[in-house]
Amino acid sequence: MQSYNVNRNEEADEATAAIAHAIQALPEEDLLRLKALARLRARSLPGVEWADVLNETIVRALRGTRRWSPGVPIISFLAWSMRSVCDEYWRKMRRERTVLVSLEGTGASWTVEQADEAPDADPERTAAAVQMLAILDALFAEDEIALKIIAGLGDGLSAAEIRVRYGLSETDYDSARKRMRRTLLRHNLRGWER
Amino acid sequence: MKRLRPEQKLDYVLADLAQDVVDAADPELRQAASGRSLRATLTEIRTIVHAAVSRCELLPHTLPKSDDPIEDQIDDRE
Repeated sequence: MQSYNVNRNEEADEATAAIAHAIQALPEEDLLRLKALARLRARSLPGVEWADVLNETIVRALRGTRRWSPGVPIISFLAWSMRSVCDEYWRKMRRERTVLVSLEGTGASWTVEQADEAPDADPERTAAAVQMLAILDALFAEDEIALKIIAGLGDGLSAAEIRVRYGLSETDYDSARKRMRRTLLRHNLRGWER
Repeated sequence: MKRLRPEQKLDYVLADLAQDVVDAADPELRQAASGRSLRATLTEIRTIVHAAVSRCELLPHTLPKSDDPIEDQIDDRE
């Protein structure tokens, strides 16, 4: 058992070292991607700065709570980790609210575990999502096709399904995505100061 | 079609837009960042990255949490 644990520790050390090395060797363009991603994610989290999101993403990646699969670019791995960091933010908020409500003795019947399983029960997250969707709508307000694409993405549609729903040609769709990407990058690397 | 909650809609939208950022061409990124000093921006990001890496080097060793139900749920969804 002891040698099994030693082996697992060594494997974990090697995995962590590989991730640390890859992060420290990120080219400048990937560093810019990290900032744009962190800012985009932080925009939907009340009171959270992009630097916090980026910091937490790297810490979680290095703690080895998620496995970095061979062949996956480190930037893609970190982008997925960032999504998990945001999910964890809302779980934490929910746990803290549950504890607060319990302490106040208002008769709340949820436990922490139940709170994580209860569906449709986070009005703060819903409100923040509505606000962020409105921000995105405002960002693309001048671009009718971009607004349609956002609406389609929000319904979980693929690119092909969005084109069919709104009668867009492939060129219309691709051109709009290019405009959207440029706007997003500009706002997440320059604007949207908070 | 099943009606999605706003947070589910946002999750879909952000996942797609984040992929767009990952896939963005290098010149697009540099051009987008050029409004303020690119050097200053990169220094700022590097400082955060290095601080996070350094922080982890100080943390006690942690094994992958294969029995962590929260992580498992995330992995299932992905």
